[in-house]
Amino acid sequence: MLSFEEAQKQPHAFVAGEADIIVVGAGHAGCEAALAAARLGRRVILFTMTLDSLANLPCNPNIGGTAKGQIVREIDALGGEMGRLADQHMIQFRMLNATKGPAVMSPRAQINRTGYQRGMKRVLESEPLLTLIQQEVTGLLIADGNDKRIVEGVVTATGSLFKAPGVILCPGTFLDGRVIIGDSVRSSGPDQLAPSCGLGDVLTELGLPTRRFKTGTPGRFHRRSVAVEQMEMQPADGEARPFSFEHEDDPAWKPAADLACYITWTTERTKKLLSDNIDRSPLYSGVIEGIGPRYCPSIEDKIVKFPEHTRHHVFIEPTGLDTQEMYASGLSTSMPEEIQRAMLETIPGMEKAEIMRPAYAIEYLCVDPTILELSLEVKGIEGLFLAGQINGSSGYEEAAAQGLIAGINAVRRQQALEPLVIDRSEGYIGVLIDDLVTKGTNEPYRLMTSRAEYRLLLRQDNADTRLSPIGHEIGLLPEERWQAYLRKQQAIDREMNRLSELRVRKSELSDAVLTAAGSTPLKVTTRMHDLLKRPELSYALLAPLDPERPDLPVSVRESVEIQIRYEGYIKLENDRVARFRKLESKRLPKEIDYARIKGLRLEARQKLSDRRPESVGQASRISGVSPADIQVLLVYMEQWNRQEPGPCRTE
Amino acid sequence: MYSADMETIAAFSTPPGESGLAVLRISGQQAGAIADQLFVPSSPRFPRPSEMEGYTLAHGIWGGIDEVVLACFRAPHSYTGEDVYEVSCHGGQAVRQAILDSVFAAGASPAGPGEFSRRAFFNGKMDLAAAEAVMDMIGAQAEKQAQVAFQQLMGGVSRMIHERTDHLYGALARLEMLMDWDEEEERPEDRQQLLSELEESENALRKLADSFASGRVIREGLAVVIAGSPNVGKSSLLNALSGRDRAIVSSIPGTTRDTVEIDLTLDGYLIHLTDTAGLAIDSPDPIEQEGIARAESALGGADLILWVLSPPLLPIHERRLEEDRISRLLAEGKKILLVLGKDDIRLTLPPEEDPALYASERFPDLPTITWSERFEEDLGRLKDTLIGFIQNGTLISRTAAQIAGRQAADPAELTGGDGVQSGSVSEGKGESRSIRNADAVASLREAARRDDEGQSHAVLTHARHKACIDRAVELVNRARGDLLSGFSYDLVAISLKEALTELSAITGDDVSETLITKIFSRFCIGK
Repeated sequence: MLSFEEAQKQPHAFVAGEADIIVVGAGHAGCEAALAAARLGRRVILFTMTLDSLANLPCNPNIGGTAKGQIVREIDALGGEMGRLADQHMIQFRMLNATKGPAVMSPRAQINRTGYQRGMKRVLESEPLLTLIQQEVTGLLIADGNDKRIVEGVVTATGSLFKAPGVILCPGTFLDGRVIIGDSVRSSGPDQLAPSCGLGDVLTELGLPTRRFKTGTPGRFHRRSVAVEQMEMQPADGEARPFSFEHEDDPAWKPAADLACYITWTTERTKKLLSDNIDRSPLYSGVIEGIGPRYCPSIEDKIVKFPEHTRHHVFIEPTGLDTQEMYASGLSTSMPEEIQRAMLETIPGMEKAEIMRPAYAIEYLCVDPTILELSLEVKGIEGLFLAGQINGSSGYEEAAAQGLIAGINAVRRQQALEPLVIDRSEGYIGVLIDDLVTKGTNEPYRLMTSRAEYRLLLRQDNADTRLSPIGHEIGLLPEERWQAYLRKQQAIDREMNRLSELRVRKSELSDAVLTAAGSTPLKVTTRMHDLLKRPELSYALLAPLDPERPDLPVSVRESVEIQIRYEGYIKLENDRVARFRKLESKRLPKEIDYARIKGLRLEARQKLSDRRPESVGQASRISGVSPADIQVLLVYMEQWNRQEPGPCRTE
Repeated sequence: MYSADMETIAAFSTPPGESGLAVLRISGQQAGAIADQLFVPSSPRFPRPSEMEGYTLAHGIWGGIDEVVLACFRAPHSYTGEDVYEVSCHGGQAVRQAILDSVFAAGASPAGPGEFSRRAFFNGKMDLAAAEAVMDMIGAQAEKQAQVAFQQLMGGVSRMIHERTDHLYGALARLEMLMDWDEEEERPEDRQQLLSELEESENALRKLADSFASGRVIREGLAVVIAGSPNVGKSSLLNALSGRDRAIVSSIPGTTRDTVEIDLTLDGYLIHLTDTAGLAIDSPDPIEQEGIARAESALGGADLILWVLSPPLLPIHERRLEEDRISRLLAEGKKILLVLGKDDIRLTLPPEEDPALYASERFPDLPTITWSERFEEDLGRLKDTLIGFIQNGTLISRTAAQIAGRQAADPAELTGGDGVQSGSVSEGKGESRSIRNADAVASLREAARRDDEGQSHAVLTHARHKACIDRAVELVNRARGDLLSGFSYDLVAISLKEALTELSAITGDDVSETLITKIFSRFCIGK
C-alpha cells in the first residue's frame, strides 16, 4: 500500500482535495460521522457512491424500536442528527412496551423514506465545513511509522488522491455486496445500487480479518393491490412523542402524518408451499455462504426452524407519503420470484399483491470488530476508524451510533484528546461498542435491551441526563440545547423535592381517591413521594390530592414519576454500577507484557496479549479470562503502580 | 487501599481433614455484624462481637451449631488489614460445613483464590516483593478450585444444575422475548404463564438446593449398605471402615445373623453402615430366605450401596442372578458403587477371572473403586468417595470400564479421585525464582506450592455452590412476589437475571449469550 508521498510520485498523480477527516460512505454511520466531525470544527469530505441515495432506509421503513429507540435518543442527547430528522419525517409513532416498565419503553416511528433522505442531504449541504462528493473510494494511503501505520488519505476509482490524516470507513452492505434471489446472484448493493468493490481487497491487504455476513429484506407491494381492509389495523399512538429532546415539550412539533400499519398472517398453505420448495431456497441449497442473523430469519427459515407454528404474522407498513409502496415485515425471503409470487397467494389480503420490488438476501464483507479500540480506531493504524455494518452490526440506529462516536473520536485523535468512550452503564451506545469490540460477534449484531446489564438506568426518558453533559463537554451539543437541558433538570429536581415534602392527610377525599384506584385508604399522614410508590397508583391518579401541583411538561412528569416509583431498584442498580466502575477505571498500560505475568493462565495470557484491553473491566469481559486472572491482574497493577517512578519492572 | 473489596469474605484457614480444631476466618467491613448475628456468648461479661476490642477472645455458641472461641482482630491490625474475626470450632467436616454455610447465609461471600493474601497486599500488609508470590498463590488456588469443580461437574452435578437452571432460563427467555420482541402490550395470560414457569423454576432450584445441602444426610446420617455374594470381603470392608476409625459411635449386632449394622462418623459425617450376607444366593432355607428379605429391605432404604465383587467369579448362572439384581436396583434409582475386592491378587489372575474385566463388560458405566485391605490408600480413597457423595450427592469415581482399561496405570492416576481432599499442584511453581525477602514471602510461596492457604477446596467449593443456589432461590422467589404484586416486567427481570448470574458462578455460563440463544431457539422472532 502506498503512502501519500509515494502515490504523489506516480505518473499522472492528481491530488484532488485535502481535508482533516474523510468519511467513506454516506449511510447512517457516515452521515453522523461527517456531521459530528464538521460540527466539531474539522474540514470534512464525505464520499458517497451516489448523491441521490444517501441516508437510505433500504430495509424496514422505521427508526427506533426496542433498544434502538433508546439509542436514537442517546444519539440526540450527544448532539447527533438521526432523532431530529426522524421527528420531521415521522408518519406513525408508537411507544412500544408502554405497560411493561420504563426500562423497556421504546419509541418507534415509521419514516417517510425519501423525505428522510432529502432531509439528510439538506443538513449535510448546509454544514459549512462539510464537502459532499460523489465518487467511489477504492484505496487507502497509508504510511509506515516506527511501530504503527498511519493513514494519510484515500484514492478514488478514477485515480484521484485525497489527503487527510483521518479516515472513517462506513461502506455498509455495499462492501463486496452480492444480492441473491433464488438462483440469481449478482454483484450489487441494496436497491440496485452499485456495490463497492475495491475496498474489500484493501482491508485484506491491511491484514484485517474479514468475513461475510448476510441479511435480507422483504418485498414492496403496491398499496392498491393489498387488501388492508381484510387485515387487523395497528393505528398510531394517540399521542406522538419526538425522539429529539429539542422537540420535546414543543407545542409546535407534530409528526408529518399518523398512518396505520396492518397485520395479517401466513397460512398452512404458505407453510406447505415453502416446505415443498425448500430446495429452491439459496439458504438451503448452499448458494448463500454468509452468516445471517438469528433475530431476523427469512420466512422459509421460520418454517423450517419452527415447524410447530401453523402461522406467522406479517406487518404491512407504509414506506412514505410520496409513494404507494408498502413494506411487508415478516416476509423476508431469498426464494426465487416464482415462489415469492405463489407465496403471496396463500396470505389473506395479499393474494393479488403487485410486487414492486422483490424480496432479496444480501451478502457483504465485514471485519472482525475485536481489532478495534473502544474509540473505533483500528489498532495499530493511526487515524483509521471503522463504523457501521463493516463492524458486524446491523440496523440503521446501531450504524448511526457508531458513526457518531467514530466521528467524535477521529476529531479528538487530531486534537490529542482522550477518546470518548461511553461505558456500559452510561448508554446503549456503550453496550453496543463494547460488545462488538470486546466480545466480537458471529452474526450481524443487533442491540437488544437484554444485552444491557443496567437496563433500568439506560431508559429512553433519561438519555439526556446520561449523555447531554458529555455532549456539552465535548462541544457537540449546541448551547441553546444545553440551556434547555439545564432548565429541564431544575424542573425535575424542584418537583422531586416538592413531592417528598408534600404530606397527604387521611380525609374523605383521600379515602375516595385511593379506593377508586384500587388502593388501600391511608392510616396515617403519608408523603406524596411514598404514595407514588404503590404499584396501583400514578402521578395522574393522585392529582386530586395535590391541588398545588404545577403545570409541568410531559417529559418532566415522566422523569419524576419513574425516578420516584423505581427509586429502590434504581439505587440497587447504581450500587452495581459503582462496583462496575471500579474495574473500568483501572487502566491497563499498553506496554504490559502479559506473557510475563505469573499466575495468569495460558489462555488468559494469549487472549490478553492478542486483544490488549484498555481497562481491567474490559479484560474481565473477554471470553477465556477468568475471575482469578482478573485478581492476578489487579495485584500486578498494584505492584506496577507502587514501583514509582517508572513503569519498568525488574526481574 | 483497594476499595472495590466491599464484600466480606470467609473461609477456613486450617488445613482440611479430620482435626481437633478448625479456624474460620471472616474478613471485611461486615465481619462484626455477621458475628453479631451468629454468636451467642456463654457469659454476659463478653461484649457483642462488633463491640470487641482488638485481640479479644470470647467463648460461646455459634449459630446453634457448635461451641466456639471467637477472636477479634481490628483493622488495620490483622492479617488482611481489615476487621477479621476468627472462629475456632470443632474440626469435623459436618461442623465445618454447617458453620461455613451459616456465615454465607448471614451475608459473607466465599473467599476467592488467594483472596486473604491479595487483600493483605492491597492494604499494605505486605511489601512489593510479596506481589509475585500472591499472584502465584491466586493462580495455584484457582487451578486447584477448577480441578475440584471440574471433578464435581464430571460427576453429574453439572447435568443436574443444567437441568434445573434450564427452567429458569426458559422463564427469563419468555420474559425477555415479551420485552424485546413482542409488539403488543401486556396480556394477563402472559403474567399467568410466567408465574407458573417461575413456580416451576423455583421448585426445581429448591430441589437442587436440597440435594446440594445434603441436609438430611448431614443431620440423620447416610445409609450405606454393603452387598454382594458371600466371601467377597464384605466383612473385611466393614471392619476396615469401622475398625480403623476411632470415632465409632455404637456397634449394634444385627437382629438376625444375616445383617450387621454399625454407626460411624467419617470426617464428622454420620454413616449408618449395614452389612448384608448371603444376598446373591437363591436358597430354599427359610432362615436364609428371611435373611434375604431383610437384606432387600436394607437395600430399599439405602442411600448408597457398596456392591462388592471379588475373585473367584461366581458360576455363570449365579452371575446372571447377581447382574439382574444390580440392574433392578439401578432401575429403581439406587446409587451403587462397585467395589472390586481383593485387589491385591487381581493382577495375577487370567483375564477370564478378572472381576474388573467382567464388570467392564456388564456394567461399564458404573462408578467403581478397587479395594484391598492390604492397601492403606484404598481405604482413604473409599472414604473420600463416601464424603464426596455426602457433600455432593454424586459419586465421583472412575467407571468399571476405565479401571479395566487402565490396569497398568501408575499409582498417581489410580488415586486420581483423591484430588478432592488432598491433591497437590505440580511441583516447580515458583521454584526457579530466588527467594530473598521476608519470611512472609517464603511462607506465601510455600502455601502457593501447597496450594491451599489452609483452605479445603472441596468444602469451600461445596459451600460456594450452595451459597449461589440459595441466593438464586431467594431471587426467584422475590421475582415471583414482584410479578404477583403487579410490578412491571423490567423489574422482575432484574431479579431473574441476578439469579442466573449467581448460578453462572457454578456453570460458567455467559448468562447474556445463553439467554439470547434460548430466546432465539424457543421463540420465532423476526421481521
